[in-house]
Amino acid sequence: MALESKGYHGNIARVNLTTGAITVEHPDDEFYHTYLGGHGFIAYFLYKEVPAGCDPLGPENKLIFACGPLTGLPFAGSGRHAVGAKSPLTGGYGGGEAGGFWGNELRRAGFDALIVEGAAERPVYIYIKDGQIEIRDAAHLWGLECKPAEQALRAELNDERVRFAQIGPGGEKQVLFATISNDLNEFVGRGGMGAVMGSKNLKGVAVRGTQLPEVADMKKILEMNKWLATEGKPMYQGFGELGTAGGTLGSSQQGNLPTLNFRFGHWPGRTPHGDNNMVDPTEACLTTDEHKGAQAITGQTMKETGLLTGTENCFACVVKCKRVTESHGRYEIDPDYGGPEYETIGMMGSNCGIDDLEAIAYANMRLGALGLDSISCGATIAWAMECVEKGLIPKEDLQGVDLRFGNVDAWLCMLEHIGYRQGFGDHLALGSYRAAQRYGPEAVALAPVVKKQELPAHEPRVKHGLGLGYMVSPTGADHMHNFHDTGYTKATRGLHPLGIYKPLPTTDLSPEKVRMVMYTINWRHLQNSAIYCMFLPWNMEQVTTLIRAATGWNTSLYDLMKIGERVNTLSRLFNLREGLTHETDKLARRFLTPFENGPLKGRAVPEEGVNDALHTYYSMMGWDRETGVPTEGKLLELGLGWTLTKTCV
Amino acid sequence: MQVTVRAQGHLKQYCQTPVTLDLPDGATVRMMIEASGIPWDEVGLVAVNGRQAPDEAVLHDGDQVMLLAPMEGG
Repeated sequence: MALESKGYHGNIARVNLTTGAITVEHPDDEFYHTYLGGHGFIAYFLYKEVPAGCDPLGPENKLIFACGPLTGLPFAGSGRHAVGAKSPLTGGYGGGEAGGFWGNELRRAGFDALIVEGAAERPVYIYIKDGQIEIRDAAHLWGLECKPAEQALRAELNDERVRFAQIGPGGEKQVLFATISNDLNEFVGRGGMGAVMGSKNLKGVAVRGTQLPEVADMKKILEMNKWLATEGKPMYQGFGELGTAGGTLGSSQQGNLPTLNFRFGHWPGRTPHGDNNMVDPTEACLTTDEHKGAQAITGQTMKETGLLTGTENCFACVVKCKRVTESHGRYEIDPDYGGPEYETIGMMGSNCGIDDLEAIAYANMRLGALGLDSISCGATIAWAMECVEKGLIPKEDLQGVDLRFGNVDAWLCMLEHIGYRQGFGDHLALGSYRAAQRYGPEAVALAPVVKKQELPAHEPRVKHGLGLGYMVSPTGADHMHNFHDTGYTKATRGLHPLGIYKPLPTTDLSPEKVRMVMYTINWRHLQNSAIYCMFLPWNMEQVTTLIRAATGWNTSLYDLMKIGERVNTLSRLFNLREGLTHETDKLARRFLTPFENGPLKGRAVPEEGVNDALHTYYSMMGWDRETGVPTEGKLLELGLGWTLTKTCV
Repeated sequence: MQVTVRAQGHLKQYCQTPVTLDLPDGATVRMMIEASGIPWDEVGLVAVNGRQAPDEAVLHDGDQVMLLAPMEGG
C-alpha cells in the first residue's frame, strides 16, 4: 500500500552478505510516524532484530545506514545521515552521524535506509544506483587507504559523482574505534561502526541517484532556506570563518580543553626539558602562560599561519564550517582529507601533550586515511602516555616506542600502529578500557570512559549537566546527543518552547537542571532521527515546520519531542538487554577528582550530586528510580508496548 | 579609558572587526558588553588580555577583550 506520508520513498533496502539476498521492504505510515528516521530506525531495528548477547563483530550484528525525512532536501543542514549497530567498543547501542553528501545520495538512489546483515566470505562492496542494488567484489579495494579506495572505486564505476561510505585499514582490521567515512572528511566516528563493517568484509557502500522522494511543501522549504542564506546569515557567518577549531583557546580558558589525559583542562604547552620532545606535566602547568599551548593550536592560528587553505561545506550548506589544511613543509598534508576540527585538536593535541598544529593537521589526515575515530584514538594514546609516565606499562610492551606526552614521533608512530594493528598499537586498538585490563586497577581507573567509550573534548568538571548526559548516553560518553551547560547560564532562549525560562549555573545539578538536560537530550535524539546538522541555527519551531513541509504531517513540537524520548528509551532498552545496567551509568574516577591547577583548580563533578541527579533523571524519564529500567506505563505511552514481550530484565 | 573588543563565532554578527570602546574608569566586563550593543546573554566567555574574566571584573585602559559564544560541538 502506498504511503500517505510525503518525504519518504517508503523503501528500506536489506542486504544479507552471507546469503547474497537483496530485498526491499516497504514500511507503513505508522512506522515512519513512530520512528521518523536516523536513530529512530536504528534503535527500532537493533532492538527488534539483533539477538541479545550476539558478538558485535559476528554475522548476527546488523549495520544500519539511516536517513530521515529531511535528508537530501534543499536546505542547509540536510546533508546528514546516521549509522548504527551493536558497538564492539561498548557492547551496547552504537552509532553516530556524518555530514557530507552520502546520505543525500542514498536518498536520491531511492532508499530511506539500508540494513546490512550477515558477513561476506570475501571483501565486497555494495553499489546502489537509482533503485538497483548489487553486491560487488572489493578485493582490489581491500587494504587501500580511504582516498585511493575512493579514487579506484570512481574509476571502476566511471563516475566521479558516486559517493562512498567506506572503511579504511582501521575498519578492515577491526580496530574497536574504527570509523565509517564518506567524502574523505566526514565520519561516523564513535563506537567502532567501522569495525562492524570490517567484520562483515564490507569495504564500503557506493551510492548514486537522481530522484528524491516527493515532499509536501517544497516551496516552504526553499523559502526557509532562502531566509537562512540571507537574513539569517549573520547567525552563522562568524562560525564558518574559524569553525569549531576557533573555540580551542576559549575552551582552555574555561578549563574545558582535555590536557594530558584529562588531568588538566587548560594547555600551557610543552616546556622544553632537555630533550625537546619531553614534557614534564608538573612544570608545564606551573608556567605563567597558562594557555600558550592552546593558542598554538587554535583555529585563529590555523588561519594566521596559512595552514588553513580553505573551508568546505556539506550538501546544501551555506556555513562552510569544515576546515581544509594543506602543507608541503615538515609534513605533506593533503587537503582532500580536510583539516582538524576541535575534537581532533583537543583529543590528539593538548590531551597528548602536543602543541604542534602542523603535526596535528598531519595526524588528522592519517586518521582520515586509516579510518580511526580521533576522539577515542587520542584518548587511548593519552591514557597510554600517562600509564607510561606512571610506570604502569612495562617498557617491553611498547616495543621500542617512547610513548610519552609530547613526543610527536612516538605519537604519530602509535597512530599508524593502531591503524594497522602492529606492535603495541594492536593492543591500543581495543580502546583504553580494554587495553587497561592487562595493567591493573590503577591503569583501569585512568581510562577516561563511560561504558568503555572515551570522553570527547568537553569537560564534565566544567559542565556538570554534560557529565550527567555522558552517564546516560546510550552510546557511552558522547557530547552530541547531550547538553552543554555553558549555553544556558544567562538565558534559555532556545528552550523557551519547552517551558524552560530560568538559566542555571554550569555547576547546578538540581532537578531544574536535570529537566533541562533531559529535555535537551530528547530533542537531540529527535535531531538525530530527523536527521540534520545541529550546527545550523534552526530553532525548534523551524525544525517542526521543516518536518511538516517535508512529510505533510500535522506534526508538532510535542510529537517530535515524544519521538526523541522514544528513541532515547528504546536505545536504553537495547543496552539493558545487553547487560549495560544502571551500574554502567558512571563517570570515570578522573572526573570526580578536582583539577590540580588551571582556571578551575579544585573543581570536580560532585559524586553524590551527580548520582542524585542521575536518579532524578531516571524518575523524570518515567524509568524506575533505582535501576533506570523504563516502566511498563512509559513504554506503553511511547508506543513501545511491543518491547514488553522482548525485554529480559 | 579605551578597550579593544573582538568577537568570535556567531558573535561576529555583532562585531565584524575589532572595535575600540570608550568607557568610564572602573567599567566592568558587563558594562563593556552592554556598551558594545552585543546581547550579554549570548556571550559565553570573555577573555581579557588572554585570561577568562567574569562579568564583574574591572577593565583598564588598553585592555584587549575577546568575546566567545558557548561551544557545544566539535
